[in-house]
Amino acid sequence: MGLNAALSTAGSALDIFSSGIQVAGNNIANANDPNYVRESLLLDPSFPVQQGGLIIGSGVTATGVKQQIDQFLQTRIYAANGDASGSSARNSTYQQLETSLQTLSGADLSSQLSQLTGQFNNLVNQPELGASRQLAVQQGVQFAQSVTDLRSRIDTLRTTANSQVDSLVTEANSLIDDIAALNPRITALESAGLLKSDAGGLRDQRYADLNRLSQIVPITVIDHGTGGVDVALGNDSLIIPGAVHHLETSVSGDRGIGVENVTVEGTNTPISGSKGELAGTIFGRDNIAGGFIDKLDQFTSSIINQFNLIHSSGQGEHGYTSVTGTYRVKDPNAALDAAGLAFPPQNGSFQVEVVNTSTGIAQTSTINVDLAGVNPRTTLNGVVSQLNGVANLSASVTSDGFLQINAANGYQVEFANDNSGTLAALGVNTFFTGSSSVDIGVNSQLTADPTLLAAGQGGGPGDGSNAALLAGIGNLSSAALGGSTIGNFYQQTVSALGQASSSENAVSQGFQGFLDALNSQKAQFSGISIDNEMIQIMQFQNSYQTAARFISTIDKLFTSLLQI
Amino acid sequence: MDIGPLLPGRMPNSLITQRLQAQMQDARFGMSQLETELSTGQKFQIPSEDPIDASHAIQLQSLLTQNTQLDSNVQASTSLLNATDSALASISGALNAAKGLDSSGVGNANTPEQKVSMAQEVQALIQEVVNTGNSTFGGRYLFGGSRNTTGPFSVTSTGAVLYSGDQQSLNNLVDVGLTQATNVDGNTALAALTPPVTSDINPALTLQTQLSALKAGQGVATGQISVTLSSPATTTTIDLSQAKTIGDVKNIIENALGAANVTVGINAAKNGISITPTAGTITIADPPGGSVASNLGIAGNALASINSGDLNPDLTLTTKLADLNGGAGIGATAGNGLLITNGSTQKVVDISSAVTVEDLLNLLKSPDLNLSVGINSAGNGLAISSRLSGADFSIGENNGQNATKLGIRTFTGSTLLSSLNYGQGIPVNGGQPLAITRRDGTVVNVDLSGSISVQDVINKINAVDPGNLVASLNAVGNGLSLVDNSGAGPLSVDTSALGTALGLAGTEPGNNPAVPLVGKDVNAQETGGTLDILVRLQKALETNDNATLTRLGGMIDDESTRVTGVRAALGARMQTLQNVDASLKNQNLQTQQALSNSKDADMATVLSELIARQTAFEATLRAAAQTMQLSLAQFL
Repeated sequence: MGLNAALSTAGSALDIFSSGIQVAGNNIANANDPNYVRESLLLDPSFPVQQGGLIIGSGVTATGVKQQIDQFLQTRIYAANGDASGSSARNSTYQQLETSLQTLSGADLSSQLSQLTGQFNNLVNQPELGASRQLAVQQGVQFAQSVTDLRSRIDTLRTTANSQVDSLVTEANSLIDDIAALNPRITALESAGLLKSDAGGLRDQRYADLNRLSQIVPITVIDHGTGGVDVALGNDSLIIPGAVHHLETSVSGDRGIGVENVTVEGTNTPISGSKGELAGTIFGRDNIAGGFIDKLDQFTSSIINQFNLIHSSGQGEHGYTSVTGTYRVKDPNAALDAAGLAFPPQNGSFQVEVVNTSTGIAQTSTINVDLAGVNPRTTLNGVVSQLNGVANLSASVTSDGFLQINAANGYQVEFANDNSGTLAALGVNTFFTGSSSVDIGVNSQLTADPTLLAAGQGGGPGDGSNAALLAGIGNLSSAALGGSTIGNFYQQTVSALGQASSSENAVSQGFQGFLDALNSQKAQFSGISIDNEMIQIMQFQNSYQTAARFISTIDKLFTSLLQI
Repeated sequence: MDIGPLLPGRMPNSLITQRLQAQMQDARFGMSQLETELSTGQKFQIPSEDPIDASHAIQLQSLLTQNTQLDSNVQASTSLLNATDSALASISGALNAAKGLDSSGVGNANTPEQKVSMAQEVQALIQEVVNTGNSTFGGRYLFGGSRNTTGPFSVTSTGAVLYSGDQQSLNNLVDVGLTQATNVDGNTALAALTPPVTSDINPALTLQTQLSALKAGQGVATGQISVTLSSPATTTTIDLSQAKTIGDVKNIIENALGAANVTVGINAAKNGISITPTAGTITIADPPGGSVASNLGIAGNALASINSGDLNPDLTLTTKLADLNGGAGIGATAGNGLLITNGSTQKVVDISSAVTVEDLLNLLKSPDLNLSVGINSAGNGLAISSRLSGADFSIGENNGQNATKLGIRTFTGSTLLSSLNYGQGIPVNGGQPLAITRRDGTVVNVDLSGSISVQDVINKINAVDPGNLVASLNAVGNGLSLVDNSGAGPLSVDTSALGTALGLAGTEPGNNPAVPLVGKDVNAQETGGTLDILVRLQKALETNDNATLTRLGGMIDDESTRVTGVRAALGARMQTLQNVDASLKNQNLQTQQALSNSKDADMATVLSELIARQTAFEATLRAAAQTMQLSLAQFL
């Protein structure tokens, strides 16, 4: 080996050591980027040369710059991302829902129900005081208001979830586009390289994109070794060479609001399940908040129906001169239990009492509602014609399907002993209107004239026997509530929600803890230690100085040689 | 971020930073939570923070609200009952004063003039009791029943006192499952209504009869029955749970089995249902665990026809008069009706327009009659009372059978002699016979001893000369009538105590044997209450009626005892309220303790935990500050 060869070896070493310093410097420069993956310069001895009998090394060559990343760990992080963000989205829905309910605050629905029954208890204590009826009706209005308020809070929660779904889909689609665009660039850049990780910056960007995408939807990433990656969602591909499938949204109606449904372009597979922020948000919107709405509706409709069943058989301080039902039938010629009423009646009868207002004399007539399964069954028109058969009473079906009953001049009509539920079904002499948490209200005839509040059952103004039944509404068990009482049902629902929320929280913490542990492992392996990098720099610096000294030695040798 | 264990190996700066950040965030979060607990005093803000305790708290809170409401109900009851009790005390006082006046009035110790001035004192007492009866508290007339927005007692122009309230108990809920009346109605307090005239008038079963009205109002629960016919041989399970009336039962059974195969109808006695197959026999049984067939009385094995027997339906407002008395009705009404005497009013009530019970009651509600009308508590008959205290009340016939068949005649064959003449009875066992001077001039002495009822008296008189000397109830009004065809002279009954007591004493001077000697009504009804006594006492003093004064003396004692009884019952109710109140307060305390246990933050624990966390946080900050300064660069 000649001096020139030695000089060239030393020269290449200088190059490589300065590259090493450059790599370490780049690492230090990116030390604060959490997505940055530590790089290191890989060195190999150059091919040795044979000189006579000697085989002498010819210095060092740089094989390339390698990202220090654990691919297996990365796959686990993608999976853990889906679990953790899905659970976290559900947990957040639970917490928001619980906050909306204001449980334990005195403003929640359970307290409102207590206040309603409390006000009816006060009415029972002294029904003869006009203010008692007024207050009971007002409390009814407040109760209905608090139900609809709660419902609209939950609707808002669901609408918010909807826009979140929308923005997640937009974000996912732009990530998909980004990744699809990065794939060919990385392939092109690395085509000359050997380590398949040379395009560090671009790869960092793609790792960041994949990481975020795996939080939104549970993806699988397949690295096919050419620099590009395939991304799949379940059995559907999102990114494969030459094709990109985005997420698509479509709107459908659900529980009174429009909801965004998300599918994969091409196959139309819906996004569902428990993994990923998107599925978690959809689950929260449809199952957690939506499920609560179902329970709320069950609770509300039971209260409306039970309250109206009792109220419609009682009497106020005086009768009605005219009363119009609040529930519409679709077809007045259809049997009443098949006429599209929210609370269909059953076989039985009710009584109308036509009271002469000047003498106070009442005339009772029984209206039969024959629905025992033996045809012909009673229709609304059948009820109307029976009512028209009662002296001093006229009845009709309005053009929009409501029952209207008018008493003749000087007469009023009262109702009693309805064992068929027909009056409650048609909304005649009822307290609440509506059939769900959206439309519950108090009958406008009562708000206009609280003396119509049916506190009694045929006695004088001091008769509070019907109000006593209404005050006990919370203790009534209802088949529609699975046999549970109205008061307990809501408490059970809220307790069950708290329980579910609490377990989701625990699950979420578990997932997050696991993800954190993985991320911490990743940080430990791929993160930048400035001390390490400085040592690297110092090491390369020393090597550089030594190589320079070697050159100077060779130079002296040359000088000596040339002086001969 | 979770602060997990460190793996052996590198410690990149990014990891150190992440861990420091996580530690600080954790410490901050923990401290914020503790601060929230301190400021709200609650262990949790939403149920999921502690689901078990939260669900306890929710239940306890609702229990607490319920107890607060019950407590307010108890307070409302207590104040109303207290006011009622002081009013009743003044009634007792009035009765005592009346007793004194009555004692002085009996006999000749005082002159008639003195008695008239005593009567004026009674007049003042009447006004005092009427005022008491109209006492109000918190906007309520205490003694009006449910008609408590106007004064229930008023003095009529004839001096009688009218009670226009009702007899309803106004109940409120004072404890879970315990309702109690917050009032004493005027009839309970002052016996302001006459005891109701009533008897079982056996309404017939019809297709309209509600199943809930069967078996004296107990009703019949519905469900499934199993019916087997021999021809065509079938066994069918029939679901009667939708049935509400007898007509529904008929329709459902006939529909299930085929109207050609079976006929369901009302039985011959019109008190039950009969089920008859067209051919062969019928078996009706309850499915295992059921009892509908046996409750309806239609369980039977291989019978040609099944008869339920008497299902004893209740009387309702819509029951037709023609269906009373087992379907026999109430007799012809045209030209007949009821002769009602109430105080100064005497009126024939024409009931020919009445079809249903309600129609009849509406006719009787006519304001000039001053009656309280309704259906009796047993549900099997009418109940008619007079609202007037200090007046005589009776319901009699007007040539028909209407009053008797409606069960509301005040004087019938079964009326007990002991109840006649305001309960003073008839001296049938006094050794004196009833002396009747017949139209042929002969005098017959009828021995009435041992007679118990009016019918016994009639039977004994009729046994004297069967078919010729005939005693019967008056065709018009009440009382006994005698006809005698023995001759053409006058017919008379002696004015002995017995004859007078029976109301027969007197003479029919004519000579027509078909014209009866019409006796007087000796069974006038009276309320017997405080006001009745006072009004009668006033009149008796004014008219110096010693017999009545003597009778009233006993009545005042009875009435005092009765009012004392009412006050005792009221006292028992107030005692109940006190007990409930005490137990509610106790329960409230316990509930609040339990609620506090499950909901409230333990301040001592929270504070010491906060201090511990603060120390840990400070340590973390110090460590962080130092760790962050360490770098190789510092030492180069």
